[in-house]
Amino acid sequence: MKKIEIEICMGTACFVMGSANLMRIKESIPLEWCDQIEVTGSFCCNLCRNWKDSKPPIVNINGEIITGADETKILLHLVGLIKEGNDAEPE
Amino acid sequence: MDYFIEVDYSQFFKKNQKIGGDVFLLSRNKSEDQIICTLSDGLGSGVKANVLANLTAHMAQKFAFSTIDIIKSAEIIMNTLPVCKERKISYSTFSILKIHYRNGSPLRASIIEYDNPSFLLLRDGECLEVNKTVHELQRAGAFKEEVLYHTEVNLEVGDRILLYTDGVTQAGLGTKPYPLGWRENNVKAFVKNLMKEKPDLSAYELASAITIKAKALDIYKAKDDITCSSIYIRKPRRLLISTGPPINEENDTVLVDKINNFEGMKIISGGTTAMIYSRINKTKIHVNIEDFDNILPPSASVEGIDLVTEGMLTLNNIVQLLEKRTPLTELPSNAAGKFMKLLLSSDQVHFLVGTKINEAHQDSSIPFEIGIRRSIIRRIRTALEDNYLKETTLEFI
Repeated sequence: MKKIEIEICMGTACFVMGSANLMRIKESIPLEWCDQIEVTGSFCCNLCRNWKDSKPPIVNINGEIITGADETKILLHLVGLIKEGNDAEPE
Repeated sequence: MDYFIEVDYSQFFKKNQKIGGDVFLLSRNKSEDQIICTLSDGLGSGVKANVLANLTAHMAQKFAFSTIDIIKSAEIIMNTLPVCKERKISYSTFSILKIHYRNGSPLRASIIEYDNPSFLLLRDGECLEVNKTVHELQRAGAFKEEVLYHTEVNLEVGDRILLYTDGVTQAGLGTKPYPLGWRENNVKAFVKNLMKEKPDLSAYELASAITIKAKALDIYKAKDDITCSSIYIRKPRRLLISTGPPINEENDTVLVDKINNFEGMKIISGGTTAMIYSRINKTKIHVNIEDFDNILPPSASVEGIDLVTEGMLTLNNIVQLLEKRTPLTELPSNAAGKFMKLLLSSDQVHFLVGTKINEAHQDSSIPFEIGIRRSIIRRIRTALEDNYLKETTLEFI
């Protein structure tokens, strides 16, 4: 199965709004999922200019943008992705 | 002649002392094209010696900047120095080094020494013998012959001057290998050997190599304050710091061209700026998440650039480190630490500052003030010039 890529924005606005804590997301993910997930960083994805629609911190999971991200939002998203992955895989 | 004058010093205090009796002062007078440094060793150690050495060094520094002849000013200082009632000797020794670097004329150094070990002039790995003029002073109350040595010498690129206190020459006094202390000849041999092995040492590295060796000879418990200052005339090392995107997007290519054409080390500080660079040069940014430490966002690497960091938070941190004169050994290992190492190993720093305002930084829901790029850069420049004697230039885009 292809790894799920979590790209966390490390730009100024995202960093001060909490992306620093998200770098440790692996610590809150159930252990059995950890090897399916890769955490990387990125510099400013130019979305913070439009604050109303895209509140920092911004996280990009497999190409899908999550704004105002926190652990709960990321975990919920991961649950969805991993379920999809499991359903698609033949038994 | 294109050169840079690098000055730094390294110091250990006598063991159990929290304050030293050796004082080194340095200032650069831009309008007169002069660098003046003073090394003074106060009698005794601890607070009393520190006050005396400070008194001497500051007087020397002020006099040396005035138009009074350097020998005359040394005489005045010595007449002002009180003579100790018990020991009948004057309170402090001093060396004053004055370098004139006016463009076009040759680089010239004047050195006045009083009771400090003789300075060393190194050229091509050899210690040069210099002619010293001797001035004898007769002061009322002094019990011994007082002699000032005055040296005038022309300097070349690659030259180094070392000034040190008797803590260096007397290191190891009473030990078996050096019953009479390390002494000048052995210091010379040590420096010559070191220069042969590592000719490119920075001023600080050379000074600290000497003080560390001297402390080791004292079996790691310094018996006196150990201070060594070193001056290195060398070709300038240049550094470019590009921070912030240009105010007009059409200028993005101008910015990247300027970065590409710069000769020297390069830092990009700012996420957006880094993105512009990677977009136009079609290179990929790799974020080094391993050097992330909760205080600052991690650094990144991209082809052609020595260091890429986040912008305002990192720069704010840099200002604090610079203004506090954080020692090299206490730098953090995050992006700011890497940034500082590049900054401190260069002589001429060019700031290329984009003037576009990042609206996201101005949002009122951000928990603390991020600040304004231009004022942060101004503070960094002031700190670099005043605390580290770097040359800086600024360009807005």
